[in-house]
Amino acid sequence: MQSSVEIKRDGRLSYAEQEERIAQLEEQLRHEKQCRIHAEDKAVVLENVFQALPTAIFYKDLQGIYLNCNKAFAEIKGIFQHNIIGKTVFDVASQERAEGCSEVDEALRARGGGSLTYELTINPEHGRQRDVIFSKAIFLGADGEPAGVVGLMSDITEVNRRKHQLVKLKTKYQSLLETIPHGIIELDTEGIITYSNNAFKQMVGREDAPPEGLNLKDLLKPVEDESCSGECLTNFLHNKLSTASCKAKVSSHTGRIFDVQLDWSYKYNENRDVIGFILIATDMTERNQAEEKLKRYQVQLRSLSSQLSLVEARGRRKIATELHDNLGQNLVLAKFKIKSLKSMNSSPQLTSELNSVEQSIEAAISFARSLTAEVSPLILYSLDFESSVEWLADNILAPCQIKFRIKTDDALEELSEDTQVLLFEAVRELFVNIVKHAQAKNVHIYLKNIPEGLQVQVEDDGRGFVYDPESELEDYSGFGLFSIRERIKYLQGKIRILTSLGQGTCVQFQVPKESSKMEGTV
Amino acid sequence: MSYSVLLADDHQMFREGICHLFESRDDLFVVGEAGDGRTAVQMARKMNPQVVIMDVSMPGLNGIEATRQILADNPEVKVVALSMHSDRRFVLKMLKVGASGYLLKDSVFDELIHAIQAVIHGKTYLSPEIAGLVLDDYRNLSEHAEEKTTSPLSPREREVVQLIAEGQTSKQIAEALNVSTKTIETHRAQVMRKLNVHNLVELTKYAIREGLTSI
Repeated sequence: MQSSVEIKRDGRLSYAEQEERIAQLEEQLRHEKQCRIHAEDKAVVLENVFQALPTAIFYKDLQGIYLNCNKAFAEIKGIFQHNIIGKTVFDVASQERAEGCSEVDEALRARGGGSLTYELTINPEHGRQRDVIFSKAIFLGADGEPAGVVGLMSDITEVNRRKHQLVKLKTKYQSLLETIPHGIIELDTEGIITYSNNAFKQMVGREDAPPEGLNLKDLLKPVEDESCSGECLTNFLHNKLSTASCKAKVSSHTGRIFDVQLDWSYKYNENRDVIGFILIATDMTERNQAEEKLKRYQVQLRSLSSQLSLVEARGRRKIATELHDNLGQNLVLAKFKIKSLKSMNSSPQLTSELNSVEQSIEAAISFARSLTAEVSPLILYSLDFESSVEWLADNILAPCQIKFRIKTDDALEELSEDTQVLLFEAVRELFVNIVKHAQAKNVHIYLKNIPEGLQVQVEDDGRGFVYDPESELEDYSGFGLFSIRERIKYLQGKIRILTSLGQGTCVQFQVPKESSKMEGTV
Repeated sequence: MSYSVLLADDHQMFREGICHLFESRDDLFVVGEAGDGRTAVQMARKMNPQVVIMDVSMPGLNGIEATRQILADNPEVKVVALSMHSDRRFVLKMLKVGASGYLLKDSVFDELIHAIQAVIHGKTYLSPEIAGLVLDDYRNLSEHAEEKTTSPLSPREREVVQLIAEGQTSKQIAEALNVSTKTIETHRAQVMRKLNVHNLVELTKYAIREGLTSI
């Protein structure tokens, strides 16, 4: 600061001047002190900031002696700060690491400036292993000349762990895509394949010539006759999406024709614009074959179960016939002979004995008669279907005080014996249902000739039940409807059920008169 | 006067028993024995008996069908049915095809002669056990006699019922039949009233029962 007091030539100052001069100097000192305090405060704050930085930082002089480092650096190294400052890297790291480090420093020095960045893993004696990114640069001294090396170390252990996980996931995802038995492809909006997995390549016979870059419609062509599903595929191929899934019969360029199911979804970019499609193609050939097989088994099972009913019915019939023809008629003859004996005999004692025998025979005849009916209703084989149904109603509905009426066409179509037996069993099942579940008072039975064959309709005024025609009849097996349906299906007939709670139940079935075409006869 | 009798029964011992029954009689003689229905029809044609004793259940052609054929050939023949069955349906069927008598087998030796004599004189004979069954059936029949068997609906109404049962709306039906929706509604109400049904389910049941639509 320039003094405003003029100094006299002889160098002496007046008293007043001296006073002024002293005051000026004191003022100057006070100012300088304030500046120093301010600078010291600034340095402390700077040091605090330096120490608080979460990134590890150090700097050292050109001889490699650490001038300072922050806490983060000490933490990564696993050494106290005071054991680092004043030391060289050879004091705080392994020989090998220290040599590497000095080489970098040397390189920087040689270049006279700039910076260098490299990754390394450090294994401190205390503390865990870390991956770090090291950046170093030459800093200049107050004279503008290189004064040392400043280093910055960022902990990238977590970043690396995530990166590693990502790589693992990607590998897993890719191997999944490549091993999954479904064909997976990515298409752009034009239908050009941008990715396809192994399964798809195999499906279209392009293991050797990857289909990427080709249009999907050149690879999968809907087979003409599969109109419905083919249309769906065609729509898709022409980018007219109707549903998210379709089934089609297609031919690949190799000429293989197969059933395929395609499920697709849109592919979006960050702005939610559609940039293509992801398609899952499933070769349905095997599944369809399995389904076909299952259907065949079902038919066979149905046939077996119906055949079993028929065999049982035949067996019962045989027994009933024997009972009726043999036992019954012989008993009648025996009765006749007893009568003849009675007329020839005059002994009262013998007459009484003969009367007793006659009574026993009569009881046996009556028993044989009811047993016959129980084992097998011979009416089914001797009379027409209408009479059999009436007999069933007499024996099942009437004893439960259920009134019934049968309306029938005058000349009912004659049915084959097997058809008649199975229909009879189905009607019996319906009647048993009514008795067990319906709580009905009246039952109307309609037998009618229709062009296709015979129609049977059984209506009751009972409580009905909740019936979903879409659902399989298996769900109603408790109502015996399952076995009825199986019998009707075996006869290639149709069954329909109309019912709802409180509305009674109406079961209708139609069977063709020709039974020779019974499905799946074994 | 002596009457010729044809015996049709698949049970030989039974036939023998009946022959034995006739041995002591001058007015009845057996002209032939058949073991099944078809033979019975052939023998009846050839021998022209006045009376046929017919078992109801026989192998091949059963007694009911055999009776129908024999009477078709010669309505003058008197058929007496024999059966182990006391079920009224057998009785009624047999009477329907023209049998003049029906005997239960266990009472045949007591009643057969009496039955033959009755039918020869143009009467009907039923074993007492089954006469009641026939009467019951007659009573049942007269109870339902007043029921209409013909359809109470006009052809147009039947057409409308069919379309309703097939799930069409009044509007669709009107378009199909080229009339106004109102006309269809009128038909619909009229049909419901005539049939005494109150909802679609009952109407559908009727349509199927009558064969107007199929399952």
